[in-house]
Amino acid sequence: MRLRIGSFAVSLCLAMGIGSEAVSQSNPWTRPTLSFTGVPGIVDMPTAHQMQDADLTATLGFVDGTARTTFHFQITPRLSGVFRYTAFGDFFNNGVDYYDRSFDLRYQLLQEGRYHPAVTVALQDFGGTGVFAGEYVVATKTFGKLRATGGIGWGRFGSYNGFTNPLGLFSDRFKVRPNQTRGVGQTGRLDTSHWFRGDAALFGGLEYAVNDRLRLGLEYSSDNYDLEQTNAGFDRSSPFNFGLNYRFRNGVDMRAAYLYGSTVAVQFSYTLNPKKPRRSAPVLDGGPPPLLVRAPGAAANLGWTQQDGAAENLRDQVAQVLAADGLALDGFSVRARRVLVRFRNPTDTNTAQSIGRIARTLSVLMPASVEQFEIVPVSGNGLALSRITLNRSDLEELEYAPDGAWQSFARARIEDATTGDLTADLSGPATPSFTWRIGPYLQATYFDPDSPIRVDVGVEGTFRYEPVSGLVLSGGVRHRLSGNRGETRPSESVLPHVRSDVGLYAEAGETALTNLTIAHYFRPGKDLYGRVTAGYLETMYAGVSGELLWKPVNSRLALGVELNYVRQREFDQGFGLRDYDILTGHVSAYYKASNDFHYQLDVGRYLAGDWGATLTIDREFANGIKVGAFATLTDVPFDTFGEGSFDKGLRFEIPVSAFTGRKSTNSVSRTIRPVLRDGGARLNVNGRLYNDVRDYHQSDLQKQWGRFWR
Amino acid sequence: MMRLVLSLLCLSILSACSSSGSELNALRGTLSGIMGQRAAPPNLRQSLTPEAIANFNGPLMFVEVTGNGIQAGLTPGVRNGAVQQWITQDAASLSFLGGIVTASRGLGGDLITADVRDVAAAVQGRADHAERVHRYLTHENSLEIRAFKCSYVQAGPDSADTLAGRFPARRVEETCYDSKGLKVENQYWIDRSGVVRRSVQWISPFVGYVDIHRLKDR
Repeated sequence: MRLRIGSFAVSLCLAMGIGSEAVSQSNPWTRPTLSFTGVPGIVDMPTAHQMQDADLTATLGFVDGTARTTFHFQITPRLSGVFRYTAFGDFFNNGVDYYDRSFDLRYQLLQEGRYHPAVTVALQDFGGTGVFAGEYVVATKTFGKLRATGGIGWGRFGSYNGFTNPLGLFSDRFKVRPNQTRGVGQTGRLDTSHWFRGDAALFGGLEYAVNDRLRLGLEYSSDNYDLEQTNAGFDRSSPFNFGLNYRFRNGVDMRAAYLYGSTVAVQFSYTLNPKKPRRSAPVLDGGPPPLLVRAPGAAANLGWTQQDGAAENLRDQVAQVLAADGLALDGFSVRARRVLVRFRNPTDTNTAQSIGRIARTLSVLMPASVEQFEIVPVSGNGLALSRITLNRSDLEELEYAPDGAWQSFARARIEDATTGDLTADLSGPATPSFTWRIGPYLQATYFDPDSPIRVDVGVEGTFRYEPVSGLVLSGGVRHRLSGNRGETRPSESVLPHVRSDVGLYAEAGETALTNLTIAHYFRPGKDLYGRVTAGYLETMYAGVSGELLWKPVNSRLALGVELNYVRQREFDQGFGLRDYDILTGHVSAYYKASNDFHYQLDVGRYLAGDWGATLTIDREFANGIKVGAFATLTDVPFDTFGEGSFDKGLRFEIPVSAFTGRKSTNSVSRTIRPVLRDGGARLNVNGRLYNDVRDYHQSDLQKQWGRFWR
Repeated sequence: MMRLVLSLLCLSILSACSSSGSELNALRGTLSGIMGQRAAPPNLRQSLTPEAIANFNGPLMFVEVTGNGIQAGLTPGVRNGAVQQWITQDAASLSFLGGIVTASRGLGGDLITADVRDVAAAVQGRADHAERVHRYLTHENSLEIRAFKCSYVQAGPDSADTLAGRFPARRVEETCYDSKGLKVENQYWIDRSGVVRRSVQWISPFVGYVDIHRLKDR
């Protein structure tokens, strides 16, 4: 069991693309160390300090037959969230391991000051099965190399040496904690009725920083480990715990402790900060092309406009230089005073940098009379995203201007791509295009009650053909070589089995058509983007999908509507269809806040015919790392939904370039759901518009503009 | 089991192919990026002998990043007003205003711009203090602005040791502090014609110091 949990953690680490990061600090208290519950703590008890803003920490700990994997994310400087996955070995003395998922939220009420301590309130396992359920308020104060912590806890933290809940002064209902361990079927229900109820108890302890690497901890625990004592024969003979934590320079912490007078526990944790993911420099990819400054008076020469084939000749030269920088020319026009370049950027996530490099290239290649550069980024599916107009003389003037980056952004005009009066006369090599790939695939399902991770591996072939800009034929076939995803328990869902037959699909689809579609991407008007897709849309559904998105270039808000008519596919994922069909669709609002946060609200009808809404909140870092959470509530009652009560999960996206320091549009993204059920399920259709569209709009460009001159 | 899965995955990645070529090279690039491996280039300090420099056709500069030992030969690039760019074969570049680095490109965490107009005057002995304003590219692709207060000591006659030989020069020491107390110490050796023949200049927190030899003017 331990081995399996270990490998689960390793695979998640890999899935997250965790690389190396240096945590170098001389102040020993710069970043707290994590307890065996995966939150800042002394040994097994929590403290009031928070991790550094945006820290992502994975821990793997072993405590007397249980393996605990946790992910801790410092959502804001004061708010943090935890996802914990715990494997209890032989938990009910029936020879079967028990896997538990839990979520915590911690909020720092008070930051440590000169005379007052840091104070944090937390809900541990606030929506899970209740194995770890507990609440606490904790205070920590630093005295040089010593840190003292004291707290009061409820639930698990009030289980040893407890006393009548002091909150009972306000209301008698606080004195009794409702029994909320209702078993696996209730996982995920947000049941607030037990918070801060029942007996309370005090806990506390001391930490001593020997140096910036080694920390010692001593604590008095108020956790009685009731469930472990009853179910797994845990021997709790003392409330005192002793621990030491060693911090390596590369972001890894190792912790060892003697717990409850009976057992030795160890834990490894790894912290990375998406704001500074590598010790070395930001993306390294060679220097830009030169910016050529015109000789005075040269702009008056218009002789070149009379030459035959001048435009074609310039087009070919631009296409060649762009290709060398990994960009594809999509369209081109040149006039006496202006030039239009449509381009695609298939290799790089640095949007502003690619605009800057095209401008430099034009300064070299364009005749001196061409003063205005109109640069139109085009999405991978042929949508013109915006029109960025730069004056050549501004570029010449601002290249070495001390505040050239901001001034060049201020002088650039960023407008809707449909508004320009100059259109592309000449096409570029971006279309027609045909690409294909034959290679391996790995597909995983997480948190199966019988096995924390199930994996299929095999061979996959995909193709994509775009005969004219915006018309895309694509498809894929997979053949499984090995795997156990098909062994997933059969669904007992009482809803239409719109997602929960994943095991049947995996088992029958040894050779599967993953998708085969024809799609059209178009601009119906100013600020509007459209998509129509038809065919075998995804592994479980075939049909027609249409989408319309409203997103002005200078707006942080976007609105979209998507409508799909789909029929369920046969389990073998050939061309056959099953009886179930559904009209599903959503109205969506997207909002990019001026801080790192991004909000998305989708309201509509889901695959099982249920009506409801999904809220997704992501924290998006400028280097492309995204960490988020989502939840869907629909008119399906919690009991009908089944395990988990409603659909929710976490998602990560980590661009490869953030770790390698080399340019790449590849990224590792994962959505982690505690459980996949039939309520609140959406269609997975490729080519949804919003994320493709916003990259080259004003707010995203502005965030990246530091790279314009690079 | 994980080992099996990983080895299967690695094995199959090695065999993957696509319309854009084998993924092996991409993987190799990614891995070497993660591991920070770079092939050891020839040592220019040994190969750039005075004879080799004399035989080189045109102006030449030698630069070494002192922190990591990366070396390059640079030739003049584009001039924009008073700023002269010097560029390597792989398009990394340093730009100078009167011998003072005002921008770097292609070194990672680049110096996007530095306002060094006062510095150039001070190095030439026309002032004993100056202010620098540097803008660096950060991990989040934003620009970090740092202002430095600098003082200058004209250290007197000395000789500039460059790969091209030893030149009589006067040495100028520049000491700068930013508001956080970061201390930067640059050195310049200026020949009789007022050209900065050699210098050790600090570029950015990521790049650190570079050793710059002006080997040949024409």
